Amino acid sequence: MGVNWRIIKALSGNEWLNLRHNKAAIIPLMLAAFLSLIIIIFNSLITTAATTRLQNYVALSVVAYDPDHLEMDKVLGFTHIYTTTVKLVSNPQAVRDAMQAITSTYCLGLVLPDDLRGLVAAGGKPTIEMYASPLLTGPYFRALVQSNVGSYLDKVTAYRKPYTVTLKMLSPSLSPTATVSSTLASISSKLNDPTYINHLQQVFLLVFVPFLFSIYTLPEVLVEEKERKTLRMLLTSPASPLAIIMAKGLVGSGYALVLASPAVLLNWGQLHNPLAALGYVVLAILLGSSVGLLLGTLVNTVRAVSIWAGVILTLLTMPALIGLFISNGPLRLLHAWPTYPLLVGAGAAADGSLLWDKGLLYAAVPLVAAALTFTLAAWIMQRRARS
Amino acid sequence: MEQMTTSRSQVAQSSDGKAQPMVEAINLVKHFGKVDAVKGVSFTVAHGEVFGLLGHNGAGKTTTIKMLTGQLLPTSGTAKVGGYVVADNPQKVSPSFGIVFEDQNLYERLTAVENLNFNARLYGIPNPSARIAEVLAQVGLGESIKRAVSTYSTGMKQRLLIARAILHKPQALFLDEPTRGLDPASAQELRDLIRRLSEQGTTVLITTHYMEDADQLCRRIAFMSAGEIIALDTPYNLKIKYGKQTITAHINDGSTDRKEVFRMGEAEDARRFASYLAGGQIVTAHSDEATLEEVFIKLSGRSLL
Repeated sequence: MGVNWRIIKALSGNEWLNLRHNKAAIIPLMLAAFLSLIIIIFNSLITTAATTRLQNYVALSVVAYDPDHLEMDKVLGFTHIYTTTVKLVSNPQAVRDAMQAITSTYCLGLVLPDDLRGLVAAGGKPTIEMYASPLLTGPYFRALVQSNVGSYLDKVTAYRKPYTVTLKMLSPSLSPTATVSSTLASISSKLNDPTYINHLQQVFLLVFVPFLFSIYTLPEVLVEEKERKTLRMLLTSPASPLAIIMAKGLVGSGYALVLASPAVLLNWGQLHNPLAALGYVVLAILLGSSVGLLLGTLVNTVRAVSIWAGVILTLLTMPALIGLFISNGPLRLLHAWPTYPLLVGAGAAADGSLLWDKGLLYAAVPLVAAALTFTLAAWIMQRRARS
Repeated sequence: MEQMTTSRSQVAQSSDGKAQPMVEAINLVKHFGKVDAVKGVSFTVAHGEVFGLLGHNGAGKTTTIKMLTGQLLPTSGTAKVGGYVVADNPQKVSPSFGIVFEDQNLYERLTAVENLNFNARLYGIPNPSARIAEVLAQVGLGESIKRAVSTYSTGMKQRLLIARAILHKPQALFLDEPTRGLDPASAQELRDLIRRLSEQGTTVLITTHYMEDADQLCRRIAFMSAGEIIALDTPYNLKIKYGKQTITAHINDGSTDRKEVFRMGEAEDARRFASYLAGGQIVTAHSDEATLEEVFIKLSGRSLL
């Protein structure tokens, strides 16, 4: 199937013209404005809440065996956001037991050896056990804690290495009840964290809003042609089905980007890596547009679009959103959902924890998914065009 | 650029030197699941000819047109336009024909000029403004071109559809029920327009179930019923061949005043008619020409509508 850019330009131009003359186009514009207003209100509320609540907020709970009173807890509150509470226990086994308990709410467990300084000075290789709950901490978080513990130990031992920090991951019970209760505890814990709520808001803006607009807009531009029977005219013109779907994709994606922009721009100042975040917005629009086009090739009425778009939006986003709260157990399968890397990547771009190699991986998955979906839509369009 | 370059005066010729037909349906068959919509339809339309496909709703006329214009792939058989097999590359063949669809499928939010301008860009027409003005004048849509199409009457939309179909100067024009929903005056204007296009050399294939359209416009017509062509000839020949061929005379023999029907070609009827004529008893006499409607009913056993 060849692509004639003159024809794509003509089709795109006509689509824009139609959009400009469409009085109903005011509805998504109003929705975009309304959403922006909600964000402004939400931002002002969360900023107030963050400044008042964070001072007393406990994000990191630690159980520790610290015989030499090295006060490691003081260095674990490693950011201005997190504060730490440490429960000191009298023997190492108490830490292990506390961390193994299914209902444990501790994020970290630390077992320091007796006379750590002395052991290091004598040239020994003391081992520090560090337990991290996979349900309550993510890999990024754990790496940060490990790094902080290491830095502190460097100071405590006056840089007289070696010592070893052993990070032990726990394997929680796979019983359904325990998994559900632990997952709910994890979700509840994260939802009580204003910083996490702020993080979710960023993800919502960077991924859900573009999805929302592209999944509703794209099928409509195609189905409208079917409803007014102009698609038949196009299919008997020099325009190929591929050219038609490409032009619709271009214009629909552009329109979705315009609609999603105010919501994103209002939060521009809060994004640590705005350019990467913008990249994920574009990716979300590409994926949403491809899925929207696929829907447009399959249904024949605008009414059907509004029903199915809601179902698809939910299917596309909810499993990935739930996946954000899950770090372990069988529900980790949700991380294989094609939109999950998009959410993680967008979130990391927003909070500044995005590494370029991971970032590329997070971008590649939705990009490939978008390309495959678009190809499927074009194939269906081609197949249905003359049947 | 896939601009159509063949001029209307150029008529493609086959290898044996004979003029190729502009439109060819060769044993076209279309099944929709278990439904046989078209069952082996074959006909040709010569350059500049106006050809009519007549039949009741569901006879297979629109499906045949769809196969000829690349909207549908035939289950079997071949559709050719301008000597090219349509199914092989519909986008390449499309500049050689224009279509007026059964539905008034226009961009209703746009004006007439915007609708035509889009098609001009789609077909790569050079100097589109001049050509648009030309076709709008040709179809008599001069006044309302700056209004959105949604405000147009059915007749105006139909004219705009024709303007759109002829914008790129196609060699063949497919008209699917072009006068449906039009008032008698608008329908007559449209027929005049089609006649003018035909006189300028455009090949026209028209589907309709209105006998007036076929009778006034078509050089030849094909009757379709249940997916098959049941008769194909000129309207005159069809009427002669399948019509009733009678004469109705008003007779006054002094005692009675009555009407009598005489069958042409019947010796006894001819003798009686001559006898009345000789006796000066015939007041008026009219030949009863069959209408195409009657011919169709006779052939298919059902009405056109």
